[in-house]
Amino acid sequence: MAFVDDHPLEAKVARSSIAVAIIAVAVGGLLGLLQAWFRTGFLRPFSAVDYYAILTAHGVLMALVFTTFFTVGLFTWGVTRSLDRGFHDRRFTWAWFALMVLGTALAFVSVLGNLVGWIPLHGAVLYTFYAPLEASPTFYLGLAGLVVGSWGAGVDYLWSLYAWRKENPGERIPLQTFMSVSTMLLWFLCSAGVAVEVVVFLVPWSLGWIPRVNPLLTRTLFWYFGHAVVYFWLLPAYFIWYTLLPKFSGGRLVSDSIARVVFLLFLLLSTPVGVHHQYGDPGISQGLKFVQMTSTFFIVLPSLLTAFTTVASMEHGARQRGGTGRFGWLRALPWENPAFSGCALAGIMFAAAGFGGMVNAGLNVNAMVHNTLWVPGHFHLTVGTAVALSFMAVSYWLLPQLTGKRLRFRTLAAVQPYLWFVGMVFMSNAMHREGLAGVPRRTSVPQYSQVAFNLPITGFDAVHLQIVAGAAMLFVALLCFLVVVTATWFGRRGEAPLAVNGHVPEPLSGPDAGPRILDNFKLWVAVAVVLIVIAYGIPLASIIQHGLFAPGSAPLPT
Amino acid sequence: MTDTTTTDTDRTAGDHEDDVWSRRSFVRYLAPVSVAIPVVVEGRTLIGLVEEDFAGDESAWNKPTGVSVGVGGELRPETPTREKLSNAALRDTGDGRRLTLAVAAKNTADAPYRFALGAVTTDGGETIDGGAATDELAPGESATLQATYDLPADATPASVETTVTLDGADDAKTVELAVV
Repeated sequence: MAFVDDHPLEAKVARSSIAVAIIAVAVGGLLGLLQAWFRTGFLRPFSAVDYYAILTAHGVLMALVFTTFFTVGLFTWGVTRSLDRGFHDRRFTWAWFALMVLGTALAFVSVLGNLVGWIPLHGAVLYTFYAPLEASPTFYLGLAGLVVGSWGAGVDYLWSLYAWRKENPGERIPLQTFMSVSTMLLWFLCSAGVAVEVVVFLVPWSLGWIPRVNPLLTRTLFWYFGHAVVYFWLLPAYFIWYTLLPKFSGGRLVSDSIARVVFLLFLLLSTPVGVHHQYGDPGISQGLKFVQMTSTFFIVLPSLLTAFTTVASMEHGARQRGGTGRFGWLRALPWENPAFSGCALAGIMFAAAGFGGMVNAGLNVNAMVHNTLWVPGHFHLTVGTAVALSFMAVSYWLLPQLTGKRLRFRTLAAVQPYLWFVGMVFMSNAMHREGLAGVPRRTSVPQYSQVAFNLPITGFDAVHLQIVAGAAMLFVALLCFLVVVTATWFGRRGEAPLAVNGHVPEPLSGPDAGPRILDNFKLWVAVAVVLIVIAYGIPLASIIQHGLFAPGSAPLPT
Repeated sequence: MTDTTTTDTDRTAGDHEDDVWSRRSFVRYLAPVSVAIPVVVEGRTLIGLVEEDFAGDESAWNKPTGVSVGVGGELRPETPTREKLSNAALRDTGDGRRLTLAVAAKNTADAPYRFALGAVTTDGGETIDGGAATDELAPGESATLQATYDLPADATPASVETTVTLDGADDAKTVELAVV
C-alpha cells in the first residue's frame, strides 16, 4: 500500500502543493535563464526596465513560491506518515491551501503588470520587497496570503501532533514530525516580522493612507524575516538529508538526538541574526552589527553537526552495501539513483556555500562583496542547489508514493542531478568572481560605459561564457526534471510496481538516547523569543525613536 | 506506521525497495566527472587568486574600479606600464580656474616608453589645450610630469587626453576624471 492509499486526502494535499511548486519552478526557471543571458549580453529580447519585473518574478517564484509550496507538501507527507494520522478538518486544510494559491496568483499578476500594459498593477520591487520601492497593494496582499496560508499548514501539523500526543502520552515525538513542527515554529516567529512590515507599513503606504515610511525600519523588519527564511528553505532539505538520505544510501541515520538538537539550534538562532544583511546600512550601530555577527557565526555549529551526521550516515549505508576502505566506501553508494545522487550533490554544494556564507557574515570582509554579484552566486548554491536539488531528488522517490504511479523516464532522472550540479558550478563560480571585482547585483545592465571592473584571473568574456553555459545547463536539467515528473504524473496507475516505499529506517541511536527536554517546544519557543527581544529590541527602539514613520521616504517610483 | 525501534533484520525486510537503478551503471561515471569539474574550476580560481596576491603592481586588485580616475588612481590600467594620477588640483585665478595634473609614470614593460597628457575637456564640452610628456623611459625607469590648464571660471574638468607610447607605437585614450 502506498501513501496515497493509506492517506488519500493528505496525499492529495501534498500532491497539489508539490504541483504548484513544480509550476513555479518551471516558470521561474525560464525567467532565470532569460535573466542570466540578458545580464551577460548574450540575448536581450526585452528592455533593461523589464528586466526588473523578470528578476522579481524569478525571485518570488523560486525563493518564495517553489520553496514554500514544496515544503508544505513534503511536511504534509512527513507529519502524516510519521504520526500515522490524517489532518483534523479537511475544510481548514483546503482553506489554507486555497489562500496560498490565491496569494501567489495575486502577487504574480501584480509583477506581470509591469510587463503587460492592460494589467493596471505593478510589482517590480524584487523579492526583497522593502521601501522605498513600492508595489501595488495586491503584490503585498498576495504575498501575505502565501505566508498566512502556510501558517495554516503549520497549524495543521501542530493540530495533528496535539491529537497524537493525547493518544500517545509519554511517547517521543516522531522525528519527521519533530522536524516539521520545529521548522514551522521558526516560520511563525520569523514571518511575524514581514507580516508587520506588510500589514502596518507597506500596504497602507501603497494605498496612500500614509504618505511615507521609514525605509530602514522596513528593511530591518524584512531582514528579521529575510535571513531566517533561508533556514525555512533549508530545514526541509535537512529533513530529507536526516531522515531519507540515510535510507537512499542503504543505511540508517547515526543519531536521532543530534538531528533534534540541530533543528532546535536553528529555531533559536535563525532569527536574531538578520542584521548581518544590513552591514551596509547607516542607522544601525557597528556594535549591534558586531553582536549579530557573532550570533551568525554560531549558526555554523548546527551546519557542521549536519555535515558530520549525514556523511557518517552515508558511510554507514555504503558499508552496509559492501563498501570498504578509508574512502573506498564512496564507490559503494548508489550514485545512479537520482534520489541519492541529487541529495549528495546538494550537500557538497551546500558545504561550498557555507564557506562563502562565512565571508558574507564577517562584518569587515562583507564590505568587499556587499551588494555584488557574489551574493546571488552564494544563494544559488544554498536555495538554488542545496534546497532545489534536494527537492527535485526527493521528488523522484516521493512522487510515486503520492500518485501511486511508477517513476517514468528513469535514465533522464538519473542524469538530471549531475547536469544541475555542473551547471551551477559554472554559473555560481562566475558570479562569485564577478562579485569579487565589484560587479553589482540587482542591476540589469552593469556594463556602464565608463566603468572598468578589473576581473581577477580571466576577462569578462570567460565569466560571461560560464554564466551563459551554466544557465543553459541548469535549464536543460530543469527540463529533464519536468519531463520526468510530468510523465509520471500523467502515467497510469498499476502499470508496474512502484519500486519505492515509505518505510524510514530507525536511527542507529534512537530518540531515547537523548533528553526528553528536546521535545519541549514551549520551552524552546520561549527561549527563541527572549533571544529575539535581546537582538532586535535595541535596534528597533533606536530606529523608531523619532516616530514610526520618521525619517520617512515617499514611494519610488513616484 | 508510527516510528518504532527496529532491528537491522527488520530494516532489511521492511526497507526493501526494488533496484531499478543499478542497470544504469554508466551514470556512475558521471559522479567522479561531476566532482572533478568543480575541483578543476575552483582550483583554477584559487590558484589564480593567489597569483593575483603575489602579482604586485600587475595585480588586478591594484587597478582601480570605478567610473573615473581620481588622485591615486591608474590613468591607463589596461596598459602594461604604470601611470598614477598623483595630484589633481583646481584653484581660482581671478579670471578663471587653473587645473594642475601631476602623473607618476613608470616603465614596467620591457620596451622604451613615453607618456603624455594632452588636452582637457570641461563639463561644458569645451576643449582646453595643453599638456606635458615624459622623456623616453627605459624599462624600469620612472618619471613625473605636471601639466596646467586654464579653465573658464565656471568650468570643471571632465576628461583628459592621454597617450602611451610603447616601443614607438602610440596608444591614445580619453580618461574620465573624478571630481577635482
